[in-house]
Amino acid sequence: MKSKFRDLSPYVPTNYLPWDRKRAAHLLRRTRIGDPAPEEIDEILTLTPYEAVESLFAFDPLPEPFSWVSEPPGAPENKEIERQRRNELLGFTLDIALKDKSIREKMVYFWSNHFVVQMSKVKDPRWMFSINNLFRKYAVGDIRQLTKAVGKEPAMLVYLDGTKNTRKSINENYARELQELFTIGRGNYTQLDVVEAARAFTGWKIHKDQGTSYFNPRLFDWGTKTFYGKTGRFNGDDIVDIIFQRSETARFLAGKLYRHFVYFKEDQEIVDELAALLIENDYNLEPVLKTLLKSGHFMDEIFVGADIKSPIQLLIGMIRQMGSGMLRERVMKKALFLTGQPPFEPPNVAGWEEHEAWISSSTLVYRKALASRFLEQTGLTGSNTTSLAEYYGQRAKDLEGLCLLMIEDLLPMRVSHEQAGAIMDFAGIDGNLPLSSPLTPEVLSQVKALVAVLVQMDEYQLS
Amino acid sequence: MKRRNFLKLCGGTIAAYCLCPVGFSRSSTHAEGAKKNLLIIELKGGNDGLNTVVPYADKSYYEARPNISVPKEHVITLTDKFGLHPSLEALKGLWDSGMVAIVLGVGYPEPDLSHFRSTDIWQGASTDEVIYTGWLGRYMDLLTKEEEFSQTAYPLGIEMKNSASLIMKGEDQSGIALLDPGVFLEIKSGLLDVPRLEPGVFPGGDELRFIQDIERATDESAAAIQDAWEKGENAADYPDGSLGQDLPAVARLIKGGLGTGIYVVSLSGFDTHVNQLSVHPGLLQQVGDGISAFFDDLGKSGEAESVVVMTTSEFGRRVKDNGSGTDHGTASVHFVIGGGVKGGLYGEQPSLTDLDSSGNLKFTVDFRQMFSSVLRGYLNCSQSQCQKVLEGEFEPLPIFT
Repeated sequence: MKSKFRDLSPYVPTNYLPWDRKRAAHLLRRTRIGDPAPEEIDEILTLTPYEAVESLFAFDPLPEPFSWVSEPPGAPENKEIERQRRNELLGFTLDIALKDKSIREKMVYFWSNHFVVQMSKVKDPRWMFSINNLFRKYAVGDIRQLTKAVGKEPAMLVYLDGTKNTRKSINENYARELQELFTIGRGNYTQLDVVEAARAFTGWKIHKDQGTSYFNPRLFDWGTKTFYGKTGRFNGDDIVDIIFQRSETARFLAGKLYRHFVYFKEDQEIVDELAALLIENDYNLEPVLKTLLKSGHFMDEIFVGADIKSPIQLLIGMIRQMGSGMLRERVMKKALFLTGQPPFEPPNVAGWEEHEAWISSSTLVYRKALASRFLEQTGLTGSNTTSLAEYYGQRAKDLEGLCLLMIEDLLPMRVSHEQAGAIMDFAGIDGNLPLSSPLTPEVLSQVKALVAVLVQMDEYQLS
Repeated sequence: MKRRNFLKLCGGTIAAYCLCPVGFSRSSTHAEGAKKNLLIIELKGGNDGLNTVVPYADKSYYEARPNISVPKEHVITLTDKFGLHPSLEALKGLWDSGMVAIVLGVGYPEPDLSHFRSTDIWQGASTDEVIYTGWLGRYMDLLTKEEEFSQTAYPLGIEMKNSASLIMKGEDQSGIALLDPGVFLEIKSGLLDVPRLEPGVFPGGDELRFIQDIERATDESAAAIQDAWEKGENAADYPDGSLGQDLPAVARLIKGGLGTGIYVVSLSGFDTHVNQLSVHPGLLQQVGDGISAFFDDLGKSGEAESVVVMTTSEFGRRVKDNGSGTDHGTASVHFVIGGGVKGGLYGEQPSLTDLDSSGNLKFTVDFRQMFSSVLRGYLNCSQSQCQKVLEGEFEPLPIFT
């Protein structure tokens, strides 16, 4: 189904596309990691759609690096230190994904799944933190500068063998993936371009103790290179500049942004417009992304609930909705592993495939089990916020009203009154039960039964 | 209030079985007589064929690879020209018993050096610009046209993975992706059979339909998988690592009598751009020890003859080394091992000096010939069926007796 909105002109609320709870939640689901808490939907609805998007671009200062980032490595002598650092890093990334109210962590996720590195090869948590914070720094910034910086990150130099790429032993790994997966896409370069680019990226090494990279001119290939028809004594930055001069690069990146933020099937005309905007803004992402998020196309009803949650979205969303507070790192690691998204461990350099690839016979079962065990372990009483049940209880006159509000918020798509009724029947809800403040144990147990059903529904897998 | 009438609640998990009274006898045209199982082992990242089956008598091999060649004295000799990497020692026994076919020079025209494009080409058995289905998916499509397989209580194909890949995707049929059947079965039994809303009335309908289809396929086959899992038992020592978990799972399901005839497992890490000498042997060890244990396991219940194992990989590696490893290449060597296989070397080793413009081997056997050998020689597909699955005619090699 094609959207009726054929360009990126701004969203104007109408009867067909009201600025309501569903659409506000849609904006939050697509721009942050995981479902919003109900209070957050209330907050965003006090703003106009324009202001709502703007508010997502108000960033906190960059988090301070861990003290161990500039300390010597733990491995190989002290594996325990490495293990602790890895756990701290995981705890940190999940915690900030949960708490940050801006779009920044969504972009960190996006770039992590674009400029991919795998912990199992990089190993050193200092380098994993460094590249992770680089994504935060450049979240909606200059993509060309980000690309240049990524190539000098120790994590990337290790992951795609840059440190082994020297004047005497050319290693093609980074030069190929840079073009195929990070910038211009397959079909726009030749094998010779790969070799020539590889020569330009020679000379980079890592100070193992400080955890930083440096350029060693003696290992660099100072000869002339011919790349995309241009000839010169290029270095890596020159190569990136040449790649970004090509409009195919803008098209490639625009397609990826579209698939991430709107829908996994590209709408050609819209992606073309997005690509033109990238060029117009010299690859500065912020104005481009704002235009996309403020558009009627992005807000179109057909995209509401049309994404499939990644395991991280599923997990963080539940924690946020239920107000349970963060779970222990070990528990989260296990849950993410089983559901197919082991932390910092995408399957290969192309990253997680996303969307339908998240769902298989195994992962669907694990996702549902994860949800129900999460409920069993945390119950419904939040540690920080008013519990979900109390929130809806204050806004309804009887249990049926409470349940309807909850169904509306927990499932991303619009559910008819009749469908909602059927879900309540299945959960064994007595809709006529009166509400009190605080809610009676009887009502609470009924709400729990409803939530247990909702989080195991196929619809809850969508975003 | 009869609210439920307004919405279609899909059937529970039990109903499906009543519709499909299919036993495990497989007397179809595809698999006459004994049950046949095909297991694909995908070596992800591009396995270095030259260091797998080593052309130890060719001095250009040693010239091209001053840093990473396998010394002649370490090679496990097969013929006067070729020998196995020492880490594949476990395969020597199978070779000696005549169960191992080695296919040399396997590739395809106009090779693509991208992992992802080349993987699609192999899994899709197609070089079309956009590839929608996999060759095993198309084989399963064909199977379901026969009454016996039109509605089975077991999945036609199982991939030991968290996420289904192209190879198992057909027009109508798809294999299921399942990791660790034991954990899966245990966890599944604890879930609620919650309502399913009718997709399509709201946005995300396609996505919802997709999820429901997978859930239905899972529900329909869970009992058969459970049954086989309980009946089957492993009786061999498997190596550590992911193959060492996936291979015994496949063996256990086969030994338990599961009707499924197609299995796919994979091992990652073959993208040996650097440190090849420290990485590659361990991977080959897993493959050799794993396959050997697998046949050992099945042999103990007299079922070694009922399985054929075939390796695949998106490409081989550059002839010349890059210092400590090898960059992306083209043609490579592959194994077809098991029941009915006529052991020996097939195809022709490409020249190590007459290379293409990227310094890569020129293929001598199209990988689809290897597939057609299995489809026609083992799975008893007719010529026209095979053409349908591979979307063209590819002459089989005489691998099967």
